[in-house]
Amino acid sequence: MGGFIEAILAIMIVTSGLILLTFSFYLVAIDDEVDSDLDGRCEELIDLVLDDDSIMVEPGVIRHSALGKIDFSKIDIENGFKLVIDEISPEFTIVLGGRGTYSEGERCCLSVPVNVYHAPKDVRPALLRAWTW
Amino acid sequence: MLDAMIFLTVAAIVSISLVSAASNQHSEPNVDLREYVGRAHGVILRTTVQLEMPRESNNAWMTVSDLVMSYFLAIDRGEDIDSFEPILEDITQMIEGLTPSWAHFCWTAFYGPYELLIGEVPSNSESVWPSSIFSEMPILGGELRFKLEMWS
Repeated sequence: MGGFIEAILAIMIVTSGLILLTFSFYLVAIDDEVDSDLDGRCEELIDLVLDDDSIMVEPGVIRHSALGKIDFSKIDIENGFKLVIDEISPEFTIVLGGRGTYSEGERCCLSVPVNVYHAPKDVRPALLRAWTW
Repeated sequence: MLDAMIFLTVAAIVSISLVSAASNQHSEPNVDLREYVGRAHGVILRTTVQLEMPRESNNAWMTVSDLVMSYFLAIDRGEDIDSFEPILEDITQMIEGLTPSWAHFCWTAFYGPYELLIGEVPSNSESVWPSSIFSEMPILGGELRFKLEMWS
């Protein structure tokens, strides 16, 4: 009889562990959904530049002189964001646009390697970066 | 006996769940990372650099891929390659700038018997994460090849 009670107790402990584990995974899944939403907005901002033929010399090569022509009205992002180009060699940052100031909470960043075309013999490496929060 | 069997069964289920959850953390890399390495490699090869020519009035502007070709041809002809050293350092910094902060990189160019390596050689092939994350770009019908690898 004593053995039976111990077995029931053991099963209860293990079951409670399983419930806690499942609950943890559920919370992680909720967090992933929030991240996924921010990721989606970052991708939208990146695509706004990369899919705009008027500012691209060829796929992956952005025309420096056309950077002011990016039309942010094409996308509908109500939350804060910032879109920049970080040239690597020489180091230089170009702010393409943004809204609001980040203070706290979830923030997502997406970087895509691109070339910036300044002149026929001056094509620089850069990272096109989008932040959303 | 029955109690022990029940306990062991439940414990086994819990163990399997935990192992499955842990193994999912080391799953194959997603498409985004492969795409990133491919894009970074394209950016490196398209970038223009300036090679200082000591005996000529004009310095030569060329893409990184052309510069590496010139480097190999200079070696092949037995010419001095000192003028390439500063620009190879610039290319190293460029690749570092394009590499995510968590990653190591190795960029290799091959031409005939010659090889140019920039970055680190993975010390243990097992530790390369993931070994399949690389971009290989053949030029001149495969005579000149470039390979960019990144790992954590």
